[in-house]
Amino acid sequence: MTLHVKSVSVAFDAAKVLDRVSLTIPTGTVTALTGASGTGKSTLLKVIAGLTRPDSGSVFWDEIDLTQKPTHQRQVGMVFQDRVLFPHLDVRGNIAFGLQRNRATDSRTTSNRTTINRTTINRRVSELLDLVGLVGFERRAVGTLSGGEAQRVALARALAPKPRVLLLDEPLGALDLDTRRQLTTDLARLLTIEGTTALHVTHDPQEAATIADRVVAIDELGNNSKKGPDERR
Amino acid sequence: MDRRVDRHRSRLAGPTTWVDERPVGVALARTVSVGVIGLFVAWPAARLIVSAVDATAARQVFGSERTWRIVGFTLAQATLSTLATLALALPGAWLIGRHRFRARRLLTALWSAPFALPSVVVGSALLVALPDSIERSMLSIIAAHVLFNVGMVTRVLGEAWEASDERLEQAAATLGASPSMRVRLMLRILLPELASLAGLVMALCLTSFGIIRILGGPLLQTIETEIHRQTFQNLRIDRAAVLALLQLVLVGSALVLTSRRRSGASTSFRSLVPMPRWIGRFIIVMLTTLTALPIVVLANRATRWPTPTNNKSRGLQAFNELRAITRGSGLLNAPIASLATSIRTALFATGLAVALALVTVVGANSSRVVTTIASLPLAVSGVTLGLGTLLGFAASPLDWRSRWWMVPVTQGMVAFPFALRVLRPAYDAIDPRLRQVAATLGTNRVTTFFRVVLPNVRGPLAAATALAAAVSLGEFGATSFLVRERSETIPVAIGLLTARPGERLQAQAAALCVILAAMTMGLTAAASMTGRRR
Repeated sequence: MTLHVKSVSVAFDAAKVLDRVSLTIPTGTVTALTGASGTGKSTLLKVIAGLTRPDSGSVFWDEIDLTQKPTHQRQVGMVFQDRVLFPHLDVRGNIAFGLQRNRATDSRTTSNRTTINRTTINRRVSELLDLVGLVGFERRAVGTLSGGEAQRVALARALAPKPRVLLLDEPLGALDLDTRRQLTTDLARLLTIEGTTALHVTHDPQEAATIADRVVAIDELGNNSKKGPDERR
Repeated sequence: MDRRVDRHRSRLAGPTTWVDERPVGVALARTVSVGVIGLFVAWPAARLIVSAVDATAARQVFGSERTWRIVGFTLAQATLSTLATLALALPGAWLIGRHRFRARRLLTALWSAPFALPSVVVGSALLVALPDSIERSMLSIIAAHVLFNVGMVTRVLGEAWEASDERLEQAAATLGASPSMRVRLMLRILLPELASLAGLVMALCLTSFGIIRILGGPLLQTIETEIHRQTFQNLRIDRAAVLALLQLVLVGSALVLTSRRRSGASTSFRSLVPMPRWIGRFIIVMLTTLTALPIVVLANRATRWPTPTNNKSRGLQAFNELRAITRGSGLLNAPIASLATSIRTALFATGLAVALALVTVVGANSSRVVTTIASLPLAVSGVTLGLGTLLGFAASPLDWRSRWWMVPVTQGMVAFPFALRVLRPAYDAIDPRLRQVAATLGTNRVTTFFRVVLPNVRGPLAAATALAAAVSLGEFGATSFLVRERSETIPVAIGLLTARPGERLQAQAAALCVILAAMTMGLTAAASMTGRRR
């Protein structure tokens, strides 16, 4: 099973952010994506997630064309740079969010997501809390978490439904140095245990080397575009 | 600061170019909400315009000296009311915009409370407070409009003054500008805000129906009351339609002025213009007195019951007698009918606002069209909407004007823009990445709206419901066209009671006003408190 990004181009207001970018990520591997600001790394993640519609090109999961599929039918997980947790839910509620039955998804897709009962949800949440080192945090309000704890919850939440591919958009970028070092090690361990296929955007070569099986620069992916004004678009 | 963070978040989230999932729920919500607004606002307005395209009626209306006298009076009272309101609001705005004092926030909220009061309550209060010689005059109408609007203008202008950059004032001071020159400089800077508020107050005074009905008496008529008179006394709906069209043009022109431009924000403020302490105290006492006046005079009147010896005994007899005396006329039902109608209206208006929010938040492509359609009811006054509804739903297959649900639906059309105005900023403040994360976790956009968006706007949702209920409770213009005997709402009952002579009936009207004021102020206070919570 492999994720294929084939010749994807994206332009915002006539400024090309991605120009015929192609990338292949074999299953079970972690790929670090590096590059200067404004080269479209985050945009590429959003194209894979279905959050940005490409002007041309396609995204495939093996033989399945994901290009026209909406985000919720793609089975991708995503972790953003800073705290993006559901404020109305506690830690457990956040992690269980993607596990709870979504009737619309079940009936409209051909995905292999299955209805999960409460016991299985609880077991999976406990397992992930243990993996990210947050046992005992189940009922904590997310507003009371530190930056590092919040990112651990975001990571556990993204991993909970066992996504085909996990997209990490500089998830450690907003953390202080000590927390970042600790989380880098934990993230590498977690991805290995879960056997997750992941695409990890980072500016830090050391982080890339610790977490990823291979490191690619976005400039090497056939991206001939000029530098955009803001890569985070 | 929050606005800057939100803008930054939106930019981080990127443009809304998600791969389309064509959600059925959004299409349904779009069809239903646009259909409902089209049917209950656009259709009555269109029907009204068609009725107004009658050369004979138009000739009769525009050829009548009475019409021009009424148009002249309408414009004169609205202009003078606006000028008086601004003149009284400016010192208060300067006070709260550039000075710190104890209970500043509380007083600012208190001063804007009369704006939430139904117009019939303010009109009735002036009827009680003013001497007989001027109680039904242009002066009393202007006073009522000032009372109604001054707190709101003070608050909005004061907040704009507070947000304006104080460094401009400091720079002027270093260049040798005197205190009065610096105040004039700030007024120049605040001119767009001032003009937009003037336009808004003008539109409110042009469409003021309850106040004119109560304080205008038989001699002083505005276009709004003339539309009502032509419809129900002269039975000349064709002439009423022509007048309604004229009103639509006047209100539309005034609303053009209400488009506002925001000035840059600065949170720190300290006046460079010294103010003697007594002036500050005088402004506070004046505005607080104006705020308290309606409730105090009405409560005083409601607790003084005339006795056979022509004395007045103090007590709650007016409230008790309200039941006994109104039993025969059906007005007994007024508070219950009003409450029941306002609950239905609130649920309907909030439901419609949620449906519109679903369309604008989830179905980004159609948001501009829907937002424009949703703002339609703001341009149509209550009386115009009531008359249009009367005309538009008179014949088969839309012969619905006597149906029980017509009043809450029409009031809902008046109330839902207010509900949407409370809800929309709350929706916009939600980090768009929360919806993106929810999508990556397998929830479609409609499910995300209900699982992520709505739970994060519970406070504003409750506030919008309470506000819609308050607007419904005080709605008089449209309701007076549609309400039927034995199902009168409180404002209609007050209008009927104040139009009849007799001390006891006036005491009962005052008692009903106190009940109505308590209900609307309670609801707006609840809306204000819950609106701050997420």
